[in-house]
Amino acid sequence: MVEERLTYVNTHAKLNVQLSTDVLSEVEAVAQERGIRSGLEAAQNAILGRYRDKMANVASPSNQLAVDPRLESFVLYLMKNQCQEAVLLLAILEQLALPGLDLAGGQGVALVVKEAVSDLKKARSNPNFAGCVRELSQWHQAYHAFRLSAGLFVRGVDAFKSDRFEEALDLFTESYRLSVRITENPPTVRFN
Amino acid sequence: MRTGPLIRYLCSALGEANVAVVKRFKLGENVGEVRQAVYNLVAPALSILQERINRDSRRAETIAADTAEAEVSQTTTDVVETVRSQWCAFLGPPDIDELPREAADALQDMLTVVLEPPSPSASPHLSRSTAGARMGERLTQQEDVRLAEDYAAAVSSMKAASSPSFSETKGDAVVPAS
Repeated sequence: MVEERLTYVNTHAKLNVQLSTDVLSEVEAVAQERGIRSGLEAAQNAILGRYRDKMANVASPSNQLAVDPRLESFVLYLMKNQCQEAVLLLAILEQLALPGLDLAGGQGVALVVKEAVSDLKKARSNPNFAGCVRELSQWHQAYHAFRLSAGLFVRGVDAFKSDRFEEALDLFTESYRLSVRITENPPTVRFN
Repeated sequence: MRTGPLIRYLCSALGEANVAVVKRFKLGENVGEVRQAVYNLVAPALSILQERINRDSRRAETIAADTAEAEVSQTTTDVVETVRSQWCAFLGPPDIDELPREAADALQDMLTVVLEPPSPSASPHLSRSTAGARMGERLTQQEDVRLAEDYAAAVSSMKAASSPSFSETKGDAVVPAS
């Protein structure tokens, strides 16, 4: 089984823990009425729908927000990079399988999260899904570098505003190098 | 890749930082530390900007058609020229005649990397061990959680405080599309 020990799966899943919790609460009734499998699919589709709505809002010409949606969510970052739906759904599965999420609601929520964990393990050990798993793993690495680059930029601006110019220069330089590294080394595996 | 805003900020920081480093050299401060500052801070930034200047010169027509990009390109060229001229100024009298031997040797080394900064990938001696490189390993949990908001605030605050050296940003992403 392919284990996700050294990647950033949980770190990135945590960014949207509130959304995951909200959606799991919403689908708990579905899980109880129509079964755990239906509950999990409803959760995945609901989260995917919310992210698609978010992307549509961001793309709207009237949107003047400086917030970069890619920094809000790993899945939004994948969407901006035109990843296939299978990759998006696997990322959402990771989000729903986040350790501790099973304690975020009642029995139905716990069972849906357990099902997500089980599905994730199956996907990672399924040879037919290996390309998708590898691509997602590479995107996690890229997203980590992307967030670091943005974080160093934020630190650099803070240093610049405080007249710590040498520190700011150091941080901007590192931010730029990371940016270039991501661009020059994008994920090479593409799941179709 | 949308790195224009980041380059603007990098240009401003380089201009300011170089003035400070040049001043330290003029005041006769620890030459070794000044040399380290040039090698670890000024030269890597110059290397990035020089690469962009070289790239821009190959696509001059495209850049000329984009006002914002042309502005960034011009700022980049101006800052690089300014930094170099500030170091080259030491070559003329009376500075060059008054420099102690150690400082004169250091100046020669520094001029070499300032005038011809090696490409980062081709210059192991410029592999960085600075605070930025070390901090680049990870963000704190608090930084990670607040990153989207802090990034937006950073972009907004820099736009509000725009200086002549890096005028208005377009509010687009600092980091690339990937």
